[in-house]
Amino acid sequence: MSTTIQMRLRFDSTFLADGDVAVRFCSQEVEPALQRGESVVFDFEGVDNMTDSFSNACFANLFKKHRGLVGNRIRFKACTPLIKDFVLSALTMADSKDN
Amino acid sequence: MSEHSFVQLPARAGFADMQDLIKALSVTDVNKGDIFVSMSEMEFYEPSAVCALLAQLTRWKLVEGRAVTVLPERRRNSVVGYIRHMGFFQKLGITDDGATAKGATANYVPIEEVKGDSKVDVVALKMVKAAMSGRSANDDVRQLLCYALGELLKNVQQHSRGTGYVMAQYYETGLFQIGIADNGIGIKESYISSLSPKVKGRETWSDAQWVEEAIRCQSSSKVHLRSPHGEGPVNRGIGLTMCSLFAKECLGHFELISHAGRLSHDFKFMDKPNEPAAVEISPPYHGVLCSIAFNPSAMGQISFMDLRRQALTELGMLGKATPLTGSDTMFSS
Repeated sequence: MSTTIQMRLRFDSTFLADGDVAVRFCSQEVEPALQRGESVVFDFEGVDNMTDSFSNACFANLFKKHRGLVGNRIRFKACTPLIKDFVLSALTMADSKDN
Repeated sequence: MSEHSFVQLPARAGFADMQDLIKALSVTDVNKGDIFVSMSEMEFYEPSAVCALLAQLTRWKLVEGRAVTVLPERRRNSVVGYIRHMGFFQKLGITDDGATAKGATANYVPIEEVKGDSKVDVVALKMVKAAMSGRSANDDVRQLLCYALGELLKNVQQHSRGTGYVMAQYYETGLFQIGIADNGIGIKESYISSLSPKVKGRETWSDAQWVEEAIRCQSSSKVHLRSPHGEGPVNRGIGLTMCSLFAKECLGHFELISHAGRLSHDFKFMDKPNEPAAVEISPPYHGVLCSIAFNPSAMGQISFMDLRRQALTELGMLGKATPLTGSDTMFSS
């Protein structure tokens, strides 16, 4: 089973900026879906910007915990080049030995 | 009986002369009675100065419970008119006989109060839209400004424990300036009250040293706090660092004041980058004040994405991710 999260609708914004909101979103929605064995697709249609606070709070922790799921049960859809960069730098952050 | 305080606000309060404003405000530290504020000399106040003034007036009124009177003007003062239109007096709950606050226009972007429940994205988008109204600017400039506002607003929410105000202004010179100031606990106290392990062995550090620490990458006072699912920090302390690097790349300026610590970088002249260390100031500012300016024309044809990549490269954080199994299938159209 796959859960697709429409980020534009979920956060009601084209700009994702709140790290605290990102942390709650991950723990209350993404984690439970993964725990149920579902795949999660983050659909960024309509989102054109974010902050590093949001991307790191949301994705760096997720990547760190579920590295083996990235690319199969954790996927990203309709990312602009900028959004893709934010996601990839969260990946770098997750890989950092300081984190 | 407590002595009253008379605060004569200085003529100018900008990047180079913020200390004059802080000194004028400190009069109230000595005398604890009612406060009378004169705005008669005001000639030029940049956004961070307006926010700092508002934050301190709020502290006196709401935190210290002191009566604050803004003395009536005897002559027309354009700065007073300017901040009135920004909603300055409305935010203070002061009724004055001038015009009421205008809605956002090309010239007036209302001051926003930063509350715990403020929607960071909404405030940032609204301010950038208002400030850029009637200006020609591409999406990359807007993205840069939204990013900076988003990170700064979130910092106040996460660290201040006081009331914060934010203001943005696009000047005719092409400089875009963001000012944000609060009357909260300050950077040093944020590290201490968050029980940051960084405090150990640094108990005697000055405010200036903590200001420098705060600007370092991955050195937020909250990086040791774990997310609910336990795999990493809730805050990785990169936003403020990125903002300062963007100011550098866009030939603007960056100033951060927390109590007696001040860091001030002027990047106007590309061949002579000015990045001195933080210094101690006296008297202190009661809270945190941040001023960032960007010269969007300095971006040239560079996209916000490339600007961000340059900053990440400078931080040694670009392209170091270990390839993950399946990472080539992460993205789909």
